[in-house]
Amino acid sequence: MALSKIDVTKMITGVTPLTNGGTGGTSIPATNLASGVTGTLPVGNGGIGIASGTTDQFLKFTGTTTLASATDNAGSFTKLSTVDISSGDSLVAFNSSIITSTYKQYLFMFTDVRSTGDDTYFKMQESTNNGGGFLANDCDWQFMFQYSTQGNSEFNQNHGKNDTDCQLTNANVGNGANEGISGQMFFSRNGSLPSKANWDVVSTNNTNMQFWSGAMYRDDNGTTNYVRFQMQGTTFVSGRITCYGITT
Amino acid sequence: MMYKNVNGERIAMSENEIAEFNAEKTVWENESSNRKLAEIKHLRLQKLMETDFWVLRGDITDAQKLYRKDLRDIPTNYDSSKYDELLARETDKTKDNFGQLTHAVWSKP
Repeated sequence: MALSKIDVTKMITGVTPLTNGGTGGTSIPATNLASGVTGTLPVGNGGIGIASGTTDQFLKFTGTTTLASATDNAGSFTKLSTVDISSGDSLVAFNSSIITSTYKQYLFMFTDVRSTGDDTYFKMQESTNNGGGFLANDCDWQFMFQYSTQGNSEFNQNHGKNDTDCQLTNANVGNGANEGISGQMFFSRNGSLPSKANWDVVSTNNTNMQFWSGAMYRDDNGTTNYVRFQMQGTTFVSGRITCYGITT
Repeated sequence: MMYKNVNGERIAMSENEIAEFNAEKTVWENESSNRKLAEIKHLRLQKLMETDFWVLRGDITDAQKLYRKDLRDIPTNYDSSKYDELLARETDKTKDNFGQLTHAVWSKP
């Protein structure tokens, strides 16, 4: 007599072996994900669909159900170089290994940059041949400034045309222990288009706090690949200048 | 030995770079008096402008005339050895005039 149906809830005891299509146990065993799974779980099934990525990259959708490893292109600041100034350094520069075609804009952060000499100004120069020579007589710069002491302040401006230096402050940055410059400068370098920059820095001397807000334009179609900062006519004591590349 | 800092690396400057730096430093130092005089003239202009109304309103006193004359005569009456005195400011933070110019020539009658 052929069996037409088996009541599996009542007529079977024991466990069905794996080789017979069973589980080999009375409960379903856990799966070891490290060693018991092969292949990649597709995005449509809640996985990422890829077996590996690239260090420091992000996942992004490349289709409705596909993911891939990719660089972050949403805009960012990438720290390129940090210079901790030593006493007696005559200049701080960032050369062609930092100022490259990778970025069109840079941010320079100045932290308590101190001068050896008294009553000097902070300046920036550019080179298109990695420091072999510096662009001359083509920089237009201007800034507004405010001096303030207790109960007294002065608001004024200064400017230069066709200069070699881009002057970021007036010549009254002090050299005392609590004096110096902090702030930032955004520097734009779009291929061979003239470079441009704008900055906001605060400085102090023995009686005044000074605020400088300025901009520059260098009328040159070379491609800047070297930027240097100096205190006019003197050296640095200490401070930090950090360069960031900006992805816009 | 003089140094420059490139990308965070401290590098000895070449002889040409040192010569360029020293030449610029010398020019800067030699122009110190001219910069101070320019600052003095800037301050003088401010003070004269602040007191123009004395003249405009037509009742300027002799003391006020003398104050303005002394301001105009600063380049004649003071040589470069006096520029630092003219630019001196009160540095005692406990005083009401902290940060203010201290030379008598700036004091209004």
